[in-house]
Amino acid sequence: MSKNKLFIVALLLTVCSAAFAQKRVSGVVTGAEDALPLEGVVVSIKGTTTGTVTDARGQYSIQAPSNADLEFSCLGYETLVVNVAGRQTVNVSLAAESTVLDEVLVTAVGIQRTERSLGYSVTKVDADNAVQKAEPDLLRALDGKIAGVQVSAPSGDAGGATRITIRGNSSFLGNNQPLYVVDGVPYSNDGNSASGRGGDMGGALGSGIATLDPNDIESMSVLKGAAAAVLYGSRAANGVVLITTKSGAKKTGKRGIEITYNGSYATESIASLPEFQNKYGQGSNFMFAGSNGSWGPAFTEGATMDMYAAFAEYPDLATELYPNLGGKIPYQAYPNNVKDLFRKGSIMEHSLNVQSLNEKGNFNVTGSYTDQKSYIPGSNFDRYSFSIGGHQTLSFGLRVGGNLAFSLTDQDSPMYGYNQSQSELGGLSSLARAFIMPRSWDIQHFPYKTLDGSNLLFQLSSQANNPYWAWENDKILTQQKRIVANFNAGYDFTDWLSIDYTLGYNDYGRDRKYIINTGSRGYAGKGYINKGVYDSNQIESTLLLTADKTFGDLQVRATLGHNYNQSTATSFSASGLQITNKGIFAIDNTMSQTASEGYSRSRKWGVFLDLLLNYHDYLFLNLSGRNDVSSTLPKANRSFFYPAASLSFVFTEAFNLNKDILNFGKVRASWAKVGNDASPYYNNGTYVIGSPYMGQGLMELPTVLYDENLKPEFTREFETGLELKFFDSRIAFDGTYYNRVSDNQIGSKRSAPSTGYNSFVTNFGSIRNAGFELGLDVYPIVTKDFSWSIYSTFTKNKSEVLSLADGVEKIEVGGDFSTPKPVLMVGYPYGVLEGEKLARTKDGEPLVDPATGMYINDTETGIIGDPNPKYKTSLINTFKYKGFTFNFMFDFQKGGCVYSSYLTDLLGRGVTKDTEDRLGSRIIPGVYGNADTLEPYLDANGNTIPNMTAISESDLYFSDGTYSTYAINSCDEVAVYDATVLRLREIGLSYTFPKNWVKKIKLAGAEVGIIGRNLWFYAPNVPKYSNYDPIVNSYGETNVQGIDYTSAPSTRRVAFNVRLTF
Amino acid sequence: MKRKLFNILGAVAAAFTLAGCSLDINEDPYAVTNLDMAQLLTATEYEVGYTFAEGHYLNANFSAYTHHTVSREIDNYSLVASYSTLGNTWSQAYRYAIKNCDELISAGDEEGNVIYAGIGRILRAHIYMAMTDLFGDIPYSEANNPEFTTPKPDKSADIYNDLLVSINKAIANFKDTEAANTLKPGANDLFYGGNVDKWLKAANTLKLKLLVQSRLAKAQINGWASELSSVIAENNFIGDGEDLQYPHSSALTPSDERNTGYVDEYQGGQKSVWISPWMYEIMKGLTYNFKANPLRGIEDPRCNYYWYNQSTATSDAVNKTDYRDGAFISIMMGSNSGFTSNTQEAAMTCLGIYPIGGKFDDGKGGKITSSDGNGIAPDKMLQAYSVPFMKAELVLAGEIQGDAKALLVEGIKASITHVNSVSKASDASVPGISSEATSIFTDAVTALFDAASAEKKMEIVMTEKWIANFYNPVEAYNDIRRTGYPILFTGDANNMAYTPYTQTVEAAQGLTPYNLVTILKYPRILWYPQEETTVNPNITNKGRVVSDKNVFWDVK
Repeated sequence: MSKNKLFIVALLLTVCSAAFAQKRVSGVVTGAEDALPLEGVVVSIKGTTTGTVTDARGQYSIQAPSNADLEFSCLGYETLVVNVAGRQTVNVSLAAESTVLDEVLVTAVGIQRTERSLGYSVTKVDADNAVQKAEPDLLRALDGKIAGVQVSAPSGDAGGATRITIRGNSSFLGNNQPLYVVDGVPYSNDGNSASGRGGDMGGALGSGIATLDPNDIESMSVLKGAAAAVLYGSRAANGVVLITTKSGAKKTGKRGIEITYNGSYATESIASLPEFQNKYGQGSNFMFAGSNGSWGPAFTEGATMDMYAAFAEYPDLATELYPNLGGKIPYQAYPNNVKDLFRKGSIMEHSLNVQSLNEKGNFNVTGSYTDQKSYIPGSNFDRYSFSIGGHQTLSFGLRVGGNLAFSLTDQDSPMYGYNQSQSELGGLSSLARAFIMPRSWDIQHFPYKTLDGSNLLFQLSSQANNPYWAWENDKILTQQKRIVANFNAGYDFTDWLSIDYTLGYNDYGRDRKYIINTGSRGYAGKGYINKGVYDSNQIESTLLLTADKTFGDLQVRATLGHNYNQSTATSFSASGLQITNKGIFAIDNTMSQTASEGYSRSRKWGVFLDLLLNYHDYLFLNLSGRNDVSSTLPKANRSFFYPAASLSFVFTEAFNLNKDILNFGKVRASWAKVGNDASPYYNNGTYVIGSPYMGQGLMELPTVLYDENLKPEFTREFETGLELKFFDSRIAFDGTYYNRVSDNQIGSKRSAPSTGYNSFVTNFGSIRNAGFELGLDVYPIVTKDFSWSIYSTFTKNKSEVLSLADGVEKIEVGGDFSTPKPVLMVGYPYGVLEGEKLARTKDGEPLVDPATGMYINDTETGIIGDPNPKYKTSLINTFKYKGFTFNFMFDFQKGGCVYSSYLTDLLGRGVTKDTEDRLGSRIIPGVYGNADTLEPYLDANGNTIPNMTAISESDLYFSDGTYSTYAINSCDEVAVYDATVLRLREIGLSYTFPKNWVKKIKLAGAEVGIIGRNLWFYAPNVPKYSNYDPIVNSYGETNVQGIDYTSAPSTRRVAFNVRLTF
Repeated sequence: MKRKLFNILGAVAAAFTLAGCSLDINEDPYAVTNLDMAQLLTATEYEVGYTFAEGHYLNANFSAYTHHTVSREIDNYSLVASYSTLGNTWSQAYRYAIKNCDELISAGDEEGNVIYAGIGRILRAHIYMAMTDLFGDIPYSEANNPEFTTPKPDKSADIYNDLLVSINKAIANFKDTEAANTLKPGANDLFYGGNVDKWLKAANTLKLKLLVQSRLAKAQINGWASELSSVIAENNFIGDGEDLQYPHSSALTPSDERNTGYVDEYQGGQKSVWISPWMYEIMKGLTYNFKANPLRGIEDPRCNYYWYNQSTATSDAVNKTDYRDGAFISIMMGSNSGFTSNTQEAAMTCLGIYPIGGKFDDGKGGKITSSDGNGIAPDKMLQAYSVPFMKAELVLAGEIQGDAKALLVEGIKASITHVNSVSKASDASVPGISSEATSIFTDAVTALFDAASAEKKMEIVMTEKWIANFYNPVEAYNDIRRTGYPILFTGDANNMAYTPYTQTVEAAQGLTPYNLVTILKYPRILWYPQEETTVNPNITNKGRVVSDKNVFWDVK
């Protein structure tokens, strides 16, 4: 609603209709589309402050001069002006607004702005894009729908964390996720994982934002750039996702109650099962062996083998299963042994929303329940959420509101991760052998546990858990609770000066338990329990003083603000070793226990000023600045200021251009600087306390050194954009270019071990992210009954590390193993993967060892891949015919890479059709080289000698360990694959029942729909039969991207939705 | 009502807007800010102990370089700069061991607690010597000094000279009766329980080790000859039961006090340490691969304590074998048989009770389970058996007078005493090696020794020291480079290796030759770990040839 309309409504509420001696005009307002009465249409006499609102039957009545112009306006409909022309009855029908030209957006700290006044990019997201998408994770539902926003969904596990980055990674080692602000209160999306996802006890851990219920969302804005986010200061350097919930929304309207029910049921299945070979079974070199690979003899009719020794506890098993084989069992393929491991998953969602509206405010209650059962047995996610809130204007003009939201999530995750880890707590992945088990294992019919309940696998129980056993026994159980309370009040002193205050409290608690059951391959089968309790809470207070005054042609709107935030986190973790009584998973039911505890608190306050100058509604200048004072910086540096300026120019209005073709045109530009503080407790002079050894306490020097003169870090961004709308907005284009440089970052600089330190926390380095975000809206056909719309986005971000500290060649970003590792190196994009590589000649030819015919590994590591996509683009087509809506969405990612131990396992174990053709010998391309000197051998003429040493097909994928081929036992380089992927992300069909029809069954509205997600994808550069979805990664919301240690493959869903309004 | 509401709201807003919510809260309430010498010593010993602990970090498979074991992971001397365990040990040495030693020394000196300072000096010298021996020129004078963010390396000879000064200073500390020593170590000293006499012996032994190690480049060590004669004359070295070693227990909490090698091999997923067939043949007196085995025909009584055969002489292996002799199943370094990557989890020969506190081999076989063994085996730093072996070497090299044969026997006996005491501590029911068995063995060795040439005598002494140092590769690696002994496996003239049993799953005798890959030149130094080189431009692997002689004492 435009400001003027608000003004009129406000007047209506406060001023009694003045009685003019005029004629009473009445009539009915209907919708042009369905001819049904429209309620809540504001009917006003143009040029006056007189007006009324239509009732439930669409009727109005107003005193008006006989020649008055009546203006009919209603949100979502084109405003209509009709001259009374002496009539007593004026019936009108309003056409639905095809596009909203001048939408009001919520920007930083809740300041509302018309779209045209914005000198920077803000994307409003329709709540419908997030709900009923067969996707319980709000962030994943948005994937591909917003230009400039990258969503990484790590795995197909229920409740696994999702990562969002806006305009790339700005922080070397810190948080790169946007700030989430829900109803004015910051949310955290940290996973706070206690252990590595790739290493020991890896799991698809969930993160904090999972506590947010998509069904409760009223609207969402994404502030992408620094200029948009500057008022949030420090925390918003990576952009802001602003969410208004239904309970937190401030609305007014005609008195009434609306009850909406959303329900959906989805089925879920694995999206990407490899295509297996079924010609060869367990063994190596075409002979049977108790190995992990399917490189054994070919299956032949009637072939049998001895019963596996592992099942000695079940002496009659062979006879029971195969009475005619005399104690032997068949040696044959079990084509579905992998597929049948998994189940049909489901998602059930129910959400009930009750909304009460009146002229002075609203009241809202939402309750939702989501129950997800992943296709992986043992992977479940439940969410219960309840929120209540409202907003009222009191008789003396005070606006008060508040809301309270509670949500509870329960996630059961099996363990995943790197399956070859040899450590005591590692190698627990339930998927360790799931996809690569020998083709001859009849895993469905053989026992998966011993008589005493321990893990039982055909031959390799000490190496891996049977997936059935693992899903039943080893678990990561996470419960998250969030309580958000928000209170707000506002008062208008005059018609141009107002004050607003918001106080919010956000308490997030997480309780996570790792269970390695007795009998597991992990922890030598003795049983292990770890329980971690984490609680974080934030208090956020914001006071705004807003002045809005017009001086001639110039409208001035100024907001002076104060903001205070206190953030506290506590953690407690206890581990119990050796479960005493089987099946009881309490820490005190273990032989010995250890525990640890942590605490941190930081505070920050800031003052800010936001000034908007509006000249004739076509030229806008916005100036803002904020000064923060933070507890986490040294006293001398803890106060810091940063400014922003942006300009918006609607040239079609300014030059009064002919609007027949170009009906709207705007250029915008902005520059901003955002400051950021440090984490708490960056202090020197403390000692590290270790766990006692042999009964003696341990105290040692710390290995982290902090810069005593730490300064705030700053990100500077320039952004410019162009918005064009043609042919009555039938074609709309929005393009943005940005260039963001973050420098003097506060980071932990790796110190050389010989300095005695692990890292030095200081200001250093610089990284640039520059890119384009393009959005295109096209309405090729719009008729009364049928419309077709196309929406497309394009995102390209290029990051480059501009500098690191002096003498520092590279910095590691994280990860569990020494290689591969994401690193920062000058001249390279963020987080390129460094790892072991092949030795090559100067011309790049790989060197081959003449004796073995395999590649020689280099002694030095190098850059082996860039996980950052070159670009991402999406295309959404929507067709509407009467009540039917059909839409489908494709998205495409070009480039990026993934290091996949899953793929090397599939190849190395010879289970997919990729390795089915295995007779004869192979020669890998390369030239002969000397493994000692890493120099090529040269012939008499000084030329390199091409490799001619033949190896077997199995050697192609399973080398001897000293040399490399293409998969197992080879250097990291060969496991890196291009992550280009084209995907049919979403396809949906819905039907909205006609209003007159639903009225007969006492409903206000009814809609049903069916939607499919991730139904098809094509990744051209991964092994053909692996059907591998290269977007999976093991590290969830962290900065480590592009590494997959057998994560759960992505899912395919089909959902049926119902929405009923009472 | 209206006024009341405004007042309340105003108060709340003012409280959070203006009230002095203090920003001076940036002190972690759980952080400790006062130094406690007693705890610092324990921590320092803990960190020093783990630096070169067997089975830990580098030493998880570095004994493949000394042919005690075979490792798939670093087969054929493939320990490259990026290999994590290499960086881990380097990092452990500087960031944890040396750093806390330095603190112990400076805090001890400052407060007149010179016993603490002396212990700090000995432990620091122990770590720095090993680091220099492994890596050559390393950061020393600029290390662990906030003034230098990219420490330059010092010459290995300079480091040795300075360490000698430091050891002498420690000896003076231990003999200092004037010092205040208001704080003295006791039970918090994990190594010697605060016994200064034992520390003095350890200091002398470390000094002897330094002098022996540098004997071929003695001209580069200040006062080498006089230092040697005085320390030999004083003859106050560690003896049986006085080893400087890092103790382990079976406790899991609050710290996991078990031997790391035990945890990895007996409690982890996959066993990664294979016993070297080369070692096996030497200790069994066999000659399938080592035709010139200096101990041929003699079976060593320590075998059953060193390793454990899960198989019996007749049981099937899990898969085809690379090297098998009866119950002994392993893989050969550089093997190209195609069978080295076969799993033998339940059949392979594993580390036994002596090196890691695993299982004693009673000859009955049986798969290892997680309830076997307990990890109570100490990690070696300075061993009593090394003293007679070092003296024997000095006698044979003509540096001191003495009876080399008697010293050889003394060394073997000290080693067997250690094997017995460590094994008993882990499992009291294990039979010790009897003195008869010991005598039979030493008699056989001395018979060979008597018949041997002067050079061969050195080979026998060094081979016996290498056997004593099983799975303790740092000292053995020095000895190999300094003396050339024991002779290491390279394959025969045709680049072949042999297994006495056929390479089948079933146990079947039959000498079988098989091809090796090209065995790389023996590395005489390790790569600088990438952990250091990527952040310290003064330490670089450019131009470093690991098969060249890089350490000052490596001149043979």
